[in-house]
Amino acid sequence: MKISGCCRIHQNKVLVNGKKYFASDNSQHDELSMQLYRFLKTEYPKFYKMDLLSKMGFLATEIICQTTSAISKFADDEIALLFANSHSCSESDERFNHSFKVEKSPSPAQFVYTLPNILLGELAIRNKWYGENLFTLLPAFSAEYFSSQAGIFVPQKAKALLCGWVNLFPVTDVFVFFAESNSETAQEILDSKEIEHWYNNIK
Amino acid sequence: MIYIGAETILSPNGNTKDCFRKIAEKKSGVSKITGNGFNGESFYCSMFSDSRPDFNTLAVQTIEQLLEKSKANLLTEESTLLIISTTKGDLSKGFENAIVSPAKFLYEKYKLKHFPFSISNACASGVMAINAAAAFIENKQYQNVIVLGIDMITDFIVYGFQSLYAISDEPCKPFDSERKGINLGEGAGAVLLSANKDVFTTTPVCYLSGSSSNDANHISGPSRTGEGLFRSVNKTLSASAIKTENIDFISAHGTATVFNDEMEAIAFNRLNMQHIPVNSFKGFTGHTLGAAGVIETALCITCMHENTLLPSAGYYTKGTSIELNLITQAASATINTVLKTASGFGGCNASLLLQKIK
Repeated sequence: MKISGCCRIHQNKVLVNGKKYFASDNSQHDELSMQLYRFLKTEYPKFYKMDLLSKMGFLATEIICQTTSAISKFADDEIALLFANSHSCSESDERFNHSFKVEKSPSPAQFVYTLPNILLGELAIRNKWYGENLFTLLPAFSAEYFSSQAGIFVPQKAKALLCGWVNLFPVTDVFVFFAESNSETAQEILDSKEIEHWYNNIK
Repeated sequence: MIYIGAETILSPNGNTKDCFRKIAEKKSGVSKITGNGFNGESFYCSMFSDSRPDFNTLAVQTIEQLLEKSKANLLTEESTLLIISTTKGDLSKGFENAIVSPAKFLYEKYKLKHFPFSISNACASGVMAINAAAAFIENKQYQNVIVLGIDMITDFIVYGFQSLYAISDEPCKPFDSERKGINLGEGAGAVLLSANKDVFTTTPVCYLSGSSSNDANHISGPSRTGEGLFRSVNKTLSASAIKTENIDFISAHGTATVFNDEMEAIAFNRLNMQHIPVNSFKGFTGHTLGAAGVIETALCITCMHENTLLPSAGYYTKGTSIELNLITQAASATINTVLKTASGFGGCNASLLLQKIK
């Protein structure tokens, strides 16, 4: 397998396929996500309702869809969404907790975001993707994890993968990449060194 | 061949055997909790009563019970992986650490060779975790995978589902015309999947195939056409040699919300499965969220061994646009092949097929 497109958001910088794509003057999550949304010129009102985890995953995926032409050649259920992070949806958990503990009014709009896989639902709705979707919790970013999952999903369960690491704490640390088959051979390996390379490429 | 067994449940209804027997006798673990709603409301749920275990203790007890049904030292072998299925983990460890903290605890306590993965895919987590386990074995990355499904009832969860008006003020009635919503539940379930039949000290069954699909429709509402569930079951069927007419029993998700159960009925009808005996275990166990898929798969395996179809609680009158063949009393039957399904927020749907060893 090969990585045919990747988006890296680190602190206030956005890189696409290793090249500088956007830089914000502000590394605060809210500011960064809104600046990037405006920069992309995307019109998608549902974006405003999303929690930060979904916003970050959504923005990185929008960038990949805009810059990676290969993604459009796959049918609606051929792309598996494999996302992970270390802190789940803790930011939304805090907000919902605040709504009932401090505001004394449990917020249903915040409660629905207290599951990390809601991000996958947002991506599926936006792109009409009906394929496999899995959200995993890992203690830290692991190129080996994505490499091993790639071997499982392609070709048995999917033809291509959209993989994502979306961590918001302690700093914005987002890495989303699109990987597809690059040969007709049965052996499908996505080299963890290739994943590691793009993840570490943040200069 | 992938084997699945060592089925283990620790729930307010007791262990695997107790749970099976009580469901057969239609004794529910669901009871009334007085005054614990956000505004002091009473509600029904399945909760441990005396000496309620903390998250890690329940996890350990469940794993220990599973290990009694498997080869010695299996847990700490190089070729063994632990996968944890949970929606919220242990919230007492703080929101950021709630899920990874129990994984770290188990990793250190048992000196595991691999750090456990945790899967958090809403109410489909359990079925997805079992599917992930099978895929690891099929791909020869591990020989054995233990899947632990676990979730506890907290104020956070109760207030959240209350805010969505999803909690019933009476024992839940999956697929019935009078259904009003869910009963929450807590507990843990565990199963062992392995490429090697000899690691089991009780008889396992075969795991045939499994898949997931997204509805691509709504983050908190089920698809009105059952699209994701329909697609997932179709993929699961086509990945095995099983045809619809071979399926003896469906363990549905059946949360008892108006929209979920209707979605499932529509999907099963589109799959031409409306006549197959079906139940929901939620009326007996409550909805145990991330544990549900594992607990219910453990119950399915028990049903296969006991040649018994277990009933659904609270079903009296058809409550979906398409009538399903709900099991209302325990009944003897040869159960060779079982379909287990689950659906959850985020539009996720998952399914898997089990078959008795021939």
